[in-house]
Amino acid sequence: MAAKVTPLVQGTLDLLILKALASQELHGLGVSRRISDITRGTFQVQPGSLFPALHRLEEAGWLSSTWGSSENNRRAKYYRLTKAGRRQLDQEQQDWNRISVAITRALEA
Amino acid sequence: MRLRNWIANLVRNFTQSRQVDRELDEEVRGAFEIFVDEKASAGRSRASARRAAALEFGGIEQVKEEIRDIRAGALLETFWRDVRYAFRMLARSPAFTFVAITTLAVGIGANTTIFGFVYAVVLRPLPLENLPRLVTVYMTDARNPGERGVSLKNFVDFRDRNDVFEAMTAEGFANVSLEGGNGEPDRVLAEIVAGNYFATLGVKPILGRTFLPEEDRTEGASLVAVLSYPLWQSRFGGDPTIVGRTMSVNNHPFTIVGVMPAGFRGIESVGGAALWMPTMTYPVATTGQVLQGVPSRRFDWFLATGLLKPGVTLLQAEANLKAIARQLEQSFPNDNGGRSVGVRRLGLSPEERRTIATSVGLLMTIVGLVLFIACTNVANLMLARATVRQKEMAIRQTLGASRGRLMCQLLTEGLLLALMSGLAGLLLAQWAQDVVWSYRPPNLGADDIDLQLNVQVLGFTLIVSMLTCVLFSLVPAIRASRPDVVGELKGTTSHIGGGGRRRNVRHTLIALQVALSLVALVSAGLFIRSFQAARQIDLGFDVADLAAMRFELAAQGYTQGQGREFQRQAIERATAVNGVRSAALADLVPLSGGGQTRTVFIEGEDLRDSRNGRIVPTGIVGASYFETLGIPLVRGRHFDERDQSTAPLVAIVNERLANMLWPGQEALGKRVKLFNTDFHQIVGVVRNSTYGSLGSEPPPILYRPLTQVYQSNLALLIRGKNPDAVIGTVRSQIRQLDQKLPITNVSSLSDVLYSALWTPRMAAWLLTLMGGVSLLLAAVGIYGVTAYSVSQRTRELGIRVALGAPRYDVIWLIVGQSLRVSFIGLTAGLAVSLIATRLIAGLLYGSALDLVTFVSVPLVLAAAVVAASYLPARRATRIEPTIALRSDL
Repeated sequence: MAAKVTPLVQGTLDLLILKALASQELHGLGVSRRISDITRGTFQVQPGSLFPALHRLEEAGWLSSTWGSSENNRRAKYYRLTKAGRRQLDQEQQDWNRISVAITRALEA
Repeated sequence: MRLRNWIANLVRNFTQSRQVDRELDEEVRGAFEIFVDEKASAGRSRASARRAAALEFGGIEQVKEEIRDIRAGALLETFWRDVRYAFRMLARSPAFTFVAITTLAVGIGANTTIFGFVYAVVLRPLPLENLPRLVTVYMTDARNPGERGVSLKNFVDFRDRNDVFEAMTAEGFANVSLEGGNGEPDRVLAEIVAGNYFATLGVKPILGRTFLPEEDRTEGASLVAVLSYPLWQSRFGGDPTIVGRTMSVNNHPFTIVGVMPAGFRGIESVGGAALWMPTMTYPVATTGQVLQGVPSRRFDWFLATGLLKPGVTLLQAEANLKAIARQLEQSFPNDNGGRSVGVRRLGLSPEERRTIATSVGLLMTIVGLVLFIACTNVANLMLARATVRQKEMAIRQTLGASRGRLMCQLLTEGLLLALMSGLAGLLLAQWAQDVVWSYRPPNLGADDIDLQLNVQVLGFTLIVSMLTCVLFSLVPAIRASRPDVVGELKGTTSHIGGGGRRRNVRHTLIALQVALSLVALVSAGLFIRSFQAARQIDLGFDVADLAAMRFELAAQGYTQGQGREFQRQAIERATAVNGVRSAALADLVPLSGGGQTRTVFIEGEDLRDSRNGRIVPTGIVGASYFETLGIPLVRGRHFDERDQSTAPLVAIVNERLANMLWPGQEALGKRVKLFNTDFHQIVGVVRNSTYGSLGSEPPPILYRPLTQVYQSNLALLIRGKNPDAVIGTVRSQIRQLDQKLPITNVSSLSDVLYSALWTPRMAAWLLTLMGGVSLLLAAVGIYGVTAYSVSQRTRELGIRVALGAPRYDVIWLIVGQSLRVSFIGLTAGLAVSLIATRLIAGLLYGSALDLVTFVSVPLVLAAAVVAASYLPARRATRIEPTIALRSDL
């Protein structure tokens, strides 16, 4: 049930990552766990897809990262939303709502 | 904003790459450990947690690779890494790299050399500002095909009556005597041009000015001249104060008013005039027939160039001018009857284009073939190398490299090779161009062509290099990126026979090389035979014993009386020299041209209608001309003392003219007339001889006696056992008569013939060189492939020898295989050659289906194939069977 990173779903992955980091700062695996939580287990993102996405979003300027230590005192990179990232999250949320409404309507027609 | 981010990230990834990489490693490894922690905390042992984590997480390196791939500048970074790796790989096999670069450099260099010449002569646009709107205006004659010039009077009418030209200008070439500055008095090529010549073409002088309108108004009034850059440098030492100084042209003082920039040669792309003078200087600048002819409307001597008004097309211009031509035909039926006009873009005439296109096409095809052969050689080398690197490729695939990445890596190596070869080829071409140019025909000077490296040649080299890269690295890259991973890692991939599909590719390449070599060698053979045929052409006179020199008397101010006296004394002195059997004066020199082209009417034709009459070359010859040259008299008599200026006019025709004017009849006794002369009676018929270019049919010629027609521009011809030895003595004898008289074109006729044979000789040399290179490359290629295939079959061959096969059997096995593959190539190549030679038949003096060539070339190639494959085959039989059986292949 893992999400494959196709171009179509890539946009969704970005949205999920941004949402996962909306309320707190997390490291890579933490983001993956949080996504799994907030989607009630529907999406289990593999590290091979997650980490590249995190780096991409960081290079785009929507996330920023710092080094910190994890629960077991291991060094890990923690990601958080930037102000631009927050704006992007709002934007993508609106887009997603519009799209889903339109498709739902189409399917009921 | 996004872009700025991207660039910033790119820079960081590049400059701090090691730190970035370290952080990446820490992050991913750290994440993995955290993952393991989670699994372990669920109660598993650390080891089993690690295993489970590894399965779920995926490989650490793989994840890192995924991250790297999407990072900013990932592509560039990959490319740069590929380049560095390619460098290392190439440096590690110096033999391969050296051979590959040398082979490709020769191919690329040859192409660049030829292109350099083609560009300089044919393709480069003239350095004229108004070039896009410039057109050539030529006249046509209903009875005689080809483009003709425009007479001065016609030019003036076209210029004044047309609606299509912003400006129109005219130019004519004349040889003049020049004195002044450094050096002996000399004869140089000058152009007399209309006053607006430079402005019409759109070019400005680098010193001084060009002509003013009033300087081209009155005949003989303004004796001014503009120098060309080469003349300014060579004769006047580049003197910056040259403007305003005088020099002597045809014994008259001319004021120098300006100097033209380097590279400007009028409307010629090669060669060109040394100086320019206004048309109205013609009474001084021209002599003899030209001087008489310029005021005549019929004398179509000038070349006209027009500058189109913006928006006017060629067709419109031609229609407009044709209408004017019709008007002129009506007003001047005698002069302009049957004459119309045509317009075309400035540049080579269609006829010139056709000749050049064929020869250029041939040269470029041959060097293209050489390049192709070179590429196939390198492709074979790369294929062999790829086989050796199988293990490396397999390991890289295991580490996560996709096939595309492997291919990219290999193509980058090819690209690096191609670029380095391109550079080497460029340098080679610079040297080769100078060498080829030093063998130029004698009538061209060192500066006549601009061969400096320019953007276009660079661009051409780059494109050729890229093409080369694709040709030789694509197929090997595709093949090499598909290794049998498991087999390679286990070390069990078998190489018996060298791989089925790979072997076919190699064999195809060999067959291709043989075919192309054959085509190149056939061309070489045909042109060698053509050159031999050219040397054996019967010229109609004895070349070996003849020498000649020229001088022009009217330019020095001699009157007719003085001229005749000088000519008489010249003959006297020349004949008196020891070793000279006979001497004669004439304006027509075999192989060097001369003479005048005139319209000849036979008795009975309506003379007022200028549509009658044939345009034929004519010559004015002195006593004992035909004996001196060794041209036999067929019928009738020679010119003798009877033919004085007061006696009835006579003439001699050659056989071709006799047949042309009076087919089937006896020419002796008939009468002909030139346009402005009385009737000449034909008193003799002589054998045909070649006056212009070799190989063309001997022209019809009308000879008139010097005693009856004065000519001031003559050649002195001498016949003797050792013409080279005596010509110097004769020259100094003539010099004693007049120290200031320029004496030019002093040479034996064998030398002149040597120069005349320049084209066929050069063609034979170049093509033989190219053919030899392609043969060498093909032989090297065959040697390499055979050696490689032998090395692959060591075990098999060892078994054969161990089982008692005699040595020659083994050798024949290998050589026979090469021959079989080459046979296909030979047949294909022969077929292509037979078809292709039809296209170049026009360039050959002999036959295009020369049996000697078509039989000997395949034999030579076959011998080369045998030789090239014999060496490695022989080495194969020297292998100790025990060693071969133990070999690990």
